[in-house]
Amino acid sequence: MVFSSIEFLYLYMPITLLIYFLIPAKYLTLRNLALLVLSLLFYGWGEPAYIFIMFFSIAVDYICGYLVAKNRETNPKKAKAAMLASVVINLSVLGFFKYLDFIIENLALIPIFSSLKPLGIALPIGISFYTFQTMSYTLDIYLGKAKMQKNIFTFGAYVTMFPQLIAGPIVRYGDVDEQLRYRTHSFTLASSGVLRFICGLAKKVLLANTAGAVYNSLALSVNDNPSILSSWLALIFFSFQIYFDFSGYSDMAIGLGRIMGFEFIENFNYPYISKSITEFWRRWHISLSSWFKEYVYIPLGGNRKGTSRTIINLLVVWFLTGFWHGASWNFIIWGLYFFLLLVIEKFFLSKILQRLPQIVSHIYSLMLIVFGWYIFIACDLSAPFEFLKAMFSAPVASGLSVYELLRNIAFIVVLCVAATPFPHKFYLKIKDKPIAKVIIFAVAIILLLICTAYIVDSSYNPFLYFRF
Amino acid sequence: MKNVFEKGIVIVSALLITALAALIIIIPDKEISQKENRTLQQLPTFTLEKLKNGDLTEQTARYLVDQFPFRDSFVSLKAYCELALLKRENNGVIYGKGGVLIPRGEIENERLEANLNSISKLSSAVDRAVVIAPLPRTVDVYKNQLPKAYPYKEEAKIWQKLFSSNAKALDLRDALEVEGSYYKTDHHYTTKGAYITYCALGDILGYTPKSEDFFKKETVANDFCGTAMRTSGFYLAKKDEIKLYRYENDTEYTVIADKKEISLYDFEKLNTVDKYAVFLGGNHARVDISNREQGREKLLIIRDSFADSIAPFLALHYDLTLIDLRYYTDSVKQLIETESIDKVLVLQSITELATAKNISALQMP
Repeated sequence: MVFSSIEFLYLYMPITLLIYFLIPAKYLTLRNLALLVLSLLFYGWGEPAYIFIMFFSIAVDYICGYLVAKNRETNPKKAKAAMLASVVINLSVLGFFKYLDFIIENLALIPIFSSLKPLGIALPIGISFYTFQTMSYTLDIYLGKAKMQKNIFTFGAYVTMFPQLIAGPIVRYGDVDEQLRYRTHSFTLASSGVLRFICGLAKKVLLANTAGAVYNSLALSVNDNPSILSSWLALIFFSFQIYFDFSGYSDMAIGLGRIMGFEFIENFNYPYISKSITEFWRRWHISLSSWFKEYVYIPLGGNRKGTSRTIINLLVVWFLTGFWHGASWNFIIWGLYFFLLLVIEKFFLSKILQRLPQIVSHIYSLMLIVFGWYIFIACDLSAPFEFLKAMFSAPVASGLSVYELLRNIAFIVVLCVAATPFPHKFYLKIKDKPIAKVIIFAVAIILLLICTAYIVDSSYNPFLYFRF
Repeated sequence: MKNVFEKGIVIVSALLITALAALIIIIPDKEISQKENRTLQQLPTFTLEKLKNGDLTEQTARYLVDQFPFRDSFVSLKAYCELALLKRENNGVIYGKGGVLIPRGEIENERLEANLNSISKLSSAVDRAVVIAPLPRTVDVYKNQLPKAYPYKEEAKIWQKLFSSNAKALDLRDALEVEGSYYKTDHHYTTKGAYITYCALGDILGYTPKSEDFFKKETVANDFCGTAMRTSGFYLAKKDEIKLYRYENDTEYTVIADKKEISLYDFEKLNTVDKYAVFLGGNHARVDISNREQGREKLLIIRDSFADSIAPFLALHYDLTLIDLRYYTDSVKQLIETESIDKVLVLQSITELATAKNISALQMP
């Protein structure tokens, strides 16, 4: 189930929140239990069988976490073994579902393995997010950043929590440990949660989905009528789509969390205003970057072991970051592309960038980010190399690309403004004025209705020859 | 005061969602959507099997969307939001100047070639000339109503392709490029457009078309919301009139559609949403139209829905057989031979000709 669907907004969400709030706040453990059961329902909605992966995940890390906590002081070796067991098992689950077929396909290219056939296992939704999240529990206990959770139901609630289950943010256990044991619910928190949720929903439904539609039609047109404008415009619309989709989802997760008394970390911080690639990765998918930093880069020694070691550590992190995004070569190349850019910036370009006018470094960053998205989508394109050629060779524009540009001018302005911090700054400035409150209230409700309209319409498929 | 605002947001949004959710259940379920011309999902029944294979959740999701309260109004709300953002179109339908709703054409170039090839094979197999009358799209006849910079040139390439081939095809674009020849809310031509086409076909088929005053024009509907209006959700645009070109004895034909006797006009259909179906009652696999006169020439029409409104005109000159390759599964060659058909006419929209997958059936021995 996705948040931007009628079944979530008008069936699952009202029922879930009703049950959750019918349980008196003083029985927090019971609320956690309800959250666990309801989250399993949420997860099992699309694929009931995959609930068992959840049970398995909960059991493994509950036990590993317990063993780590018990042996940390007395028997560090045993604690380390339990921690490693958790890492190995979690990565095996992820490897089995996500990477096995990729490995088989590539092995099959080598003559002696040519008889190997991909297994065609369906990828359980959100598995990349929740395996990382679950692993952080055992790792945090091992690193002394969190205490173990004795109550398996409360722990289960953490693993399965539906707001961030399928698209993040990747909430590290250390960050919510306290909140699972003690948290308050209030109208203040809930109302900010509702506003945040509606804001995220609007980003996803009104901006991401509609930008995605333009991207699709332009990307398709590049096959027949290639041009510089159509290919770059397609990529620009994809850039908007992926940002608003992903950050909209994070907003909805954070909003839902607040309604239920949780405070999750921010996942995006206006990445497209960055003036360097280094800055972009501090602003984009923060929970993932900090996960890799915390559990891979720093344990490998970070930047404390000399220049060549730092470069190798960065290489490992960016190879993994790329590969995490999908089991395909283009994602690995995408990760390495950013590794290269980051190393170049780290060792000399950043000093130059700082001296350049802001607008230059801004254009520099955006061009490279947008080109990065080309690598990201290359495998989805019907003709990736022709697309690449179209980006850099005449004709300048096709008829369709000019038309799409003109009819989307206002939309592009909206997208650009929405990707900057200005709307939020404006909101902070006015939000305490009484008249502004009425306007915010009205805008929120209207946005909710308009989002509903867009979702209802997306299923609106006239079929002209019915019953035949 | 602060708290009122905060409570207000939480309570009002919760109430709004609960109310709409409750209305899905309270409002009696509809079985079909006339506007979309399809059956709607009913409340799914629970079985363990359906739960396991994911059908249950899928049906539930469809049920909620299909039975959502004020569905058409929500769809319209979206359409006008898109228009307010100056996007000029919604769901692939352009909001043209003067409120003309113009569906954006979808064309597959390779398909057109394959289809023309199938037609020419039929022609040599039965040793008769097959006339192709590809009907323009709304885009082709309402060019002046298109938004600025609309890439019409790229879309018009399909015509060059058609006329550069060897097929014997009629170019109807100039003749039909007149005000009122196409509906403003539907992708079909009007009866006036059908009349123009009928006149243009006279030369090539070899008959003298009746002059316009032979017909008595009769307006049978003035609130026609065509498919373009229904797909786009632009319900505030001006609705269409349906005019019929009547003449004496037009009720006296014998019209057999899939073994059932009907007539040229099905006036019942004017009470439904798809009012264009007033012509021959909509889609059939095969329709035969004849009058009592003996020895008239026989014309076979490979049809799509455009043929329905031109049939009353052509029936003046020929005994007609209309077949629709989407539903007609027998051999067309055999049909031509057993019914001793004199002339064959492919009368379809260019869209159909360039996208239909069933035209290859013409090659059936």
